[in-house]
Amino acid sequence: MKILLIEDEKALAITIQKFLLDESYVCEWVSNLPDAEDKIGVYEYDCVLVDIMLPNGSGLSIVEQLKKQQSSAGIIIISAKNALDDKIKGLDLGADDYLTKPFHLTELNSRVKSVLRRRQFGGNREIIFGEIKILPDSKEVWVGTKNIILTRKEYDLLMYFVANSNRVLPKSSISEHLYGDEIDQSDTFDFLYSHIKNLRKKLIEASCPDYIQTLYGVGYKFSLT
Amino acid sequence: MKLINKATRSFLIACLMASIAGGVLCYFILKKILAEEDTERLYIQKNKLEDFVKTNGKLPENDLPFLDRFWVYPTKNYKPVELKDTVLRTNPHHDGLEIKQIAFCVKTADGYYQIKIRKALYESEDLIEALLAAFAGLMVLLVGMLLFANYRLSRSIWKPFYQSLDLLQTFKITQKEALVFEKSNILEFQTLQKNLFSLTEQVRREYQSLKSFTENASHEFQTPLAVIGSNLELLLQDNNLVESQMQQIASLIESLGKLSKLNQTLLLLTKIENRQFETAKSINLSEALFEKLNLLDVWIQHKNLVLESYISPNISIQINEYLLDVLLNNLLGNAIKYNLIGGKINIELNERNLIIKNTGNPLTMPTEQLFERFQKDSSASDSLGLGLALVKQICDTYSFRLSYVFENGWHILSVVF
Repeated sequence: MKILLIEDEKALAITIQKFLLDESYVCEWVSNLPDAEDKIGVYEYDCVLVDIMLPNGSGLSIVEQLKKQQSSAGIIIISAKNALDDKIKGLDLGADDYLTKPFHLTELNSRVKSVLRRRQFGGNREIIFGEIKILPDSKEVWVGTKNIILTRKEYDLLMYFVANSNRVLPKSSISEHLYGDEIDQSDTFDFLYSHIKNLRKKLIEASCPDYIQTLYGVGYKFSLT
Repeated sequence: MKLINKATRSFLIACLMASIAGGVLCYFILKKILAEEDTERLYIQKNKLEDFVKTNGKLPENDLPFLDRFWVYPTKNYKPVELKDTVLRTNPHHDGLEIKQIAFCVKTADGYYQIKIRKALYESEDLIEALLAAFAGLMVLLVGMLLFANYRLSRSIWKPFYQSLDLLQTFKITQKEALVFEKSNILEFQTLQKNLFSLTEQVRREYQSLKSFTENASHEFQTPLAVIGSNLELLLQDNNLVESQMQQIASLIESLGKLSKLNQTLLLLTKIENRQFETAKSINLSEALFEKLNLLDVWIQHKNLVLESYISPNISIQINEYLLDVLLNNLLGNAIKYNLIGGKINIELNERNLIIKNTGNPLTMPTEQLFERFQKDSSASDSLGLGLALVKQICDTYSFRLSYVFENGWHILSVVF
């Protein structure tokens, strides 16, 4: 999977790139508009992460160009501007998703995966993690032959865990993913615990090993071991 | 009072005073002229009569043409000419007749005769009446002309002024274009328009720059916050960390989240204050409430709260969708957050208002400070203290009335649409 990152803030770009490389993606980084235009003119990418505010212009022009080229790349806009206009404009132009800075790297990771999944047509559209099989189209979760009924939040939580498996997930990152940034994060920590408890219970009842590891005072980690 | 009315009133008063003064003056002058005229005529008659006597040597037997009636009194000796104004009473019960009388002596063949010629004077009352009528007519005419002229004047001369006023009334600080005043050739109006233009332009520009400042400032904040956050997260993934280091990093991430949230909320408050959310549309509040309660259900259950809701279906209000979301998040969030474990929440929605009641401990802060920024109850140390300030700002924007009371262990917040 090849990802192009267009971001002028070097320090941020480096961490994003490093994180995505750890996820075994090929991630190229450019910091300005002309370089970005050159790159997308020559190479094919599976996903393009583009900052709107770039030194020599708006990242929205990249979105336009990609659409003109009929590129199959998924597009995620990254912006510090939480202006509704930009968001609507970006999505109207054909971007797949919109992330507002500051965001959690794990959140970006989960969005990238979701975009890539939606872009892979005709492929094997199921996610396997250990004993768990997820069918994202129908939002079904299976453990062996057992269908597990999850609430919407529990399903979102599981997807987030699977997308960020083997990662240390701080509580704030999970609650922000589940509840957006509208509710005070500190308030959601309380019931994040309830969600995780319920999810864990449902999985274990279906005789699935407990993949959710609690890291005291930090958060959670979803891993096979 | 309208300018035209004020001016007209002053004019009217001036006219009235001038008319009265003029009337009085006229009265005296006329009276004097008439008296002189009468005197003159009496002398003329006297002369005619004297001529007649001189020619004929006797008094005329009949009344002479062009002569008023005269009275003849025989007298023994010559009496000097006497002119006087007097009142002739024919009947003691009636008012006397004002007359001017000339008495003089003529010598005939029969001896001396005193002749009295009398002339009725114009009565003062009649004169005043006539003058009053004349001046009243003049007044009516004047006022009519004045009103007409003023009306025309205000239509033409004052037109640019009223247009400027109307234009100023439509001025919004958020508008993107400058005000365009209609050209006037009157110097005062030109000055007024020039000053109004520069004033509104200044206000508009200041606002625009403030607006872009808040956005830029927020942008400038968010990027370093993002850099710090992503580095911390990356650091957290390091396998060589010991548990205490991980906890420290997680606590940093959490604080950073708060800082970022604070920044966003302040920005949001400024945006609402600056009326940057103008796109209000009719939103089904009943459905929005149900949806939000659904979302918060886990939290409600987590605190073992008993929720009772009386939500009338299909209640719609005019509001920006995003702001409604913020409003409900804060109101419902507070009702849960500051509730007791196993407490109660009552939600009531009808056409007129939304009432959210929850059980809880009384506030430790004065109620009037509740809606101010950074005011928080001592029991809510991890709160930003901006939630209810946001609620208040949103309610103010849409002229909803927001009130809070604490009654019998219930916090009651109501929003009247």
